[in-house]
Amino acid sequence: MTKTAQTDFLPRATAFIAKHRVAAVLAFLMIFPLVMPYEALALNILIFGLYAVGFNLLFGYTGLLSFGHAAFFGVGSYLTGIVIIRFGLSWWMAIAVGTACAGLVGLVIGFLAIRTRGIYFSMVTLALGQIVYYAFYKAENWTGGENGLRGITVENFGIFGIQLDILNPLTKYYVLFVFVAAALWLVSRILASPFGAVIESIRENEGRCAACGYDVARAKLLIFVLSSLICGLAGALRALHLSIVPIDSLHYLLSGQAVMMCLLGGMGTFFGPFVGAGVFLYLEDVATVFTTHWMAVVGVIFMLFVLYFPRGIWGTLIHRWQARRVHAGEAR
Amino acid sequence: MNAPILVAEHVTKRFGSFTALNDVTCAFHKHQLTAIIGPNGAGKSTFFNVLTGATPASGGKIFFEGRDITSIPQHEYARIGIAKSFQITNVFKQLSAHENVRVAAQMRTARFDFLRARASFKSLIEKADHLLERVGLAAHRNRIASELAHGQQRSLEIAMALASDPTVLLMDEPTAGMSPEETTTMMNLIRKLATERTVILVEHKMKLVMGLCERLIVLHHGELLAEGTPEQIRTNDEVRRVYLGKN
Repeated sequence: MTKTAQTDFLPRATAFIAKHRVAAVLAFLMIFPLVMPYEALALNILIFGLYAVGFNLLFGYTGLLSFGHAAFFGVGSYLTGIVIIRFGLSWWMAIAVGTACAGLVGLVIGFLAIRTRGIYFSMVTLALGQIVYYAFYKAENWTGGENGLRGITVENFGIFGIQLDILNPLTKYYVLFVFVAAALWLVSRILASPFGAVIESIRENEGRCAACGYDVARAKLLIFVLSSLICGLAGALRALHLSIVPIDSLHYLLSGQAVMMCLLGGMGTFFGPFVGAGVFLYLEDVATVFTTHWMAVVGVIFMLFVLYFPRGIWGTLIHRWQARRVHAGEAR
Repeated sequence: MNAPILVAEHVTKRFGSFTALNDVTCAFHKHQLTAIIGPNGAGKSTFFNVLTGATPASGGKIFFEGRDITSIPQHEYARIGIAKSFQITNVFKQLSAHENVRVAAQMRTARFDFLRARASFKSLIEKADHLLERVGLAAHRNRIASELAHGQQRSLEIAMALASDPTVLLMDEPTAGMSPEETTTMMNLIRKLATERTVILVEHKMKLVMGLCERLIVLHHGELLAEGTPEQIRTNDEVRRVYLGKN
C-alpha cells in the first residue's frame, strides 16, 4: 500500500501541474530568483524562457521549424529601446510598441514563409531574419549599428503608493515577471482553445486538417504572428533588463538557440521550453567559468539529449509519469 | 430519379504526358449510393481526388448543387458539405480518438477561436462522443489514434468525415485491408449512412458493390466505360469483356 502511495505521488503531481499549468509555472517562477546563484541569471532565464515558449508555439505545437525568430526578439528589443531614447516614451508604452512591431514583422515574414514547407520554410525564415539583421546593422543612426543601442533608461515608478527601485535586480525581476505571467497565461489560453486544436492537427496531418475544412495557410499565419508577438515581448523585456540592445539580439545564432532550448526542454510541452532555456543558460553560466569554449560543452549535452532523450527533459518526465499513471489505472 | 447533386463535366486529368482521366462526364444523384469501379489503373482514385478537390483537374468542370466548384480551395469542400475518407488512413496520429473527431466537428462553430476554452464547447464534445459510438469506437475514446487497429482507424476517419455534417460523403476503398468481419461491419455502416445522405464509393471489389450500391460507374483506362444499375452493369458486354475478363 505504502509503495503504491509513493509511486502514485509523482504521477499525481504531474497530473495536478498539467491541470493547473499556468498557476504551477507562475508559482515556480515566483521563487525562482531566490534559488538562483544571482538574479541576473534568473532574469535571463525568465526572458529567454518566454522567448522559447513563443517559439515553441510554432515549432512544438504547429510543427513549423523557423530559423528566423531572432528577428522578432531583436525587433522587440530595438523598437522598445528606440522609442524610449528617441521619443521619450514611458517604458510600458515602449514594451507595447516593441511587441507590436515584432508582430508586424512577423506578419510580413510569416506571409512570405508559409507558402513553403519543410526545409524551405526554415531557409526562407532564416533568409528573411538575416535581412532584418542587416537592415538594423546598417541603420547606424537609429540602432547604433555594430555597437548596439545604448542608453535605455527606465525611470523608477510607484505602484499602490510603493516606490519601486527598478535598478534593484530582484525588483526588476518581479516587474518583468508580471509581463511574462500575462504572456504565459495567454499562451495557455491559446493552446487550450479550439484554435490550439487546429494548430496541433496541422502538425499531425496538414492535408487532413485542410480536408476537415480549415484554411491551413491562414491558421499558420495567425500562429506565426502570435508566436512573433510573444518573442517580441521577450525581446522588449530584455531591452529593459540590459539597458542596451546588442546587435546579437538579431543574429541567427539566437534563432538557433530557441531550437536548442525547445529540444532540450521538450518541444510541444507547455513548460518544456522554460526548462530548456534554464538548463541552457545555467550550463552556459557554469561552463564559462572553466572554459571559453562553453559552446562545446553545451553542444555535447545537446547531442546526448537529441540522441537518447528526444522528448527533452520535461517531455521525458511527463511521458514517464503519464505512462505509469495510465498503466496503474489499467491495472486497477 | 433524384436530381443530380454532384456533376462531372468533361473532366480530364493529365500527369505530364500520361492521361489518367479522359473526358469523363457523369452525374451523382441525391440520396443515392453510387460506386465508382474499374480495374487497377482505371483512374478511380484520380477521379476521386479530382471530385474532392485534392488534385486540380487539367480540364473540365465539377458542379455541386448547380454551383461550379472546380477551382475552390481544398478546405472549402468540407464547408459546402462534401466530406471524404481516404484510402490511406489519414488521421491525426498523436491525438486521442475523441480529439480527432472533436477537431473535425468544431469546424462549423469555432474555427479560429483562440481565447475560449475547448472544454466550454460542450455540444462539440457530445457530438464527437455520439459519432464515436456510431462507428463503434466509444470504448476507445481516449486512446491515441496511432494505437488503434487498422480497421478502427478507418472507422475513426469516417467519424471525422461525418463530423462536418456532409451532404455528400465520398469514400476511397473503405474496406481496403480489412478483415472479413470488419468488412461486414463497415458495409452495414455504409448502408446506414447512405439512407441519410449521398454516398459515393470508390471500390475495386466488384462483389462488394454489387449487393450494396444502387448505381455503378465503370472506369477503364481513364475513360467512362458504362454506368447504370448493378443489373445493367452485370449484363453489359463491354464491362464483362474488360473488367470481368469474360467473353
